[in-house]
Amino acid sequence: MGQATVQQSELQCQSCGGQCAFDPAQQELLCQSCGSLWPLATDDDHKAADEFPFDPDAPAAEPPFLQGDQIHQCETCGGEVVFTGAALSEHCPYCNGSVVRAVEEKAYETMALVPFRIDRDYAARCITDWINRRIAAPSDLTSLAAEGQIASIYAPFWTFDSKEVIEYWATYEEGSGKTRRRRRRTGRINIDFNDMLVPASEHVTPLIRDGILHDFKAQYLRPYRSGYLAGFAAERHHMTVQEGLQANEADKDLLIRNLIEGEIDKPNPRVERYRTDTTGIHYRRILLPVWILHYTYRGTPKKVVVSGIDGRTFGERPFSPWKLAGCSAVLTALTMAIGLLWGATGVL
Amino acid sequence: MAQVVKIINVYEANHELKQGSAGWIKTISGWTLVVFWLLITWFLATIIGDWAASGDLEQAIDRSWMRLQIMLEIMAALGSD
Repeated sequence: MGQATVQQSELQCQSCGGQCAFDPAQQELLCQSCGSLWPLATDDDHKAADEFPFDPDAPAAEPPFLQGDQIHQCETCGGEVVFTGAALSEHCPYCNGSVVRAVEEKAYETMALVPFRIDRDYAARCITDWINRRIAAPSDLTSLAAEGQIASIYAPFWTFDSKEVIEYWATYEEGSGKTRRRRRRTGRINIDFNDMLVPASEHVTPLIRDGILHDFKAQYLRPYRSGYLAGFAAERHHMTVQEGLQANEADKDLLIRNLIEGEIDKPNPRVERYRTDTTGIHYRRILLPVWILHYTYRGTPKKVVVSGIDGRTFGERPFSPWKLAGCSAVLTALTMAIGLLWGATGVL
Repeated sequence: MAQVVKIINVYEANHELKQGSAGWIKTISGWTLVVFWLLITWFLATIIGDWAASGDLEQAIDRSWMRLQIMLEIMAALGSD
């Protein structure tokens, strides 16, 4: 994948000719035959954090191209992944469906990636810890999850920077009781969005991003090299910059409205409308590492996702109806007890 | 039970989703139904408690209605803080 076909020579051990895979613990290529380690770091690694300007009024021509990858497509979710080195799997990392060889489609160049920093065993422990902390979860959830499949994938993301000058029209509440009124307010605020992560794949939801990618740091980025992909699956970038910006519009709108409400700092604010002047857009097309556990609970497929950077975990979980009923009963009984005592004492 | 699911989702979102992110804002919004459910339960219980103590249902409803208004004012004040 990347700018060229996976270079098999880079993935072969220079000592014994065996196949190498990226080792998250050492951050180097590890020969699967003789155990030799081969460094991947270069003097130019710092350039991986470089950002690229984008002018929405005059977008630069950026044609996608064939990269000579062997593509596998999921028969269930349609996801296209590239398996590098020994990573070849019969299952889609996103949904656990079957994958088949597919004809390569044109894709955009990936600029950088954050290599996996945690291995499968650590990810499995993070998942177990996360599941054990669920409130009102079914008792058999831990054992069901232990039977699930853990897959690794480099998922495509954007980072966007932008400067926003926002003019807003809003209302807020003033007074109380019969004197309560809504007041109008207009204002202007400046917001700088820096390294805003945006999923570049329909298979990665914003909730997954907000659940596990808290601590994205640009200094973790490394230049795109097949060595970092060896032993892992990866999805390629298929969106133009304009499409990436559009995909983020709903979330950006929510964040801007939330920031305006914080700026108003009055009770019950409501943003009627706003106008924003966006400048200084910079972007990166990157890959971020995630471990995904696929498990099935009563016929419903679910997934738990672990950040390959720091092990932060988030996912889908079922509830136990009996435990929920118990929690509801306790909460209702507590509320009723307070109400009964309050009423019986006659206190206003 | 849907209200308890919401409470748990909000609790987990506050501990696990990135604070201030779009996913966090979406998950923690929609508290109105939970508060409405708790207020209705509390309001009805105050009527029953007052009625049991005073024996006068009409007066108990009047006093509980006033308690509800006071509670709403307190919550509005806390919300504005």
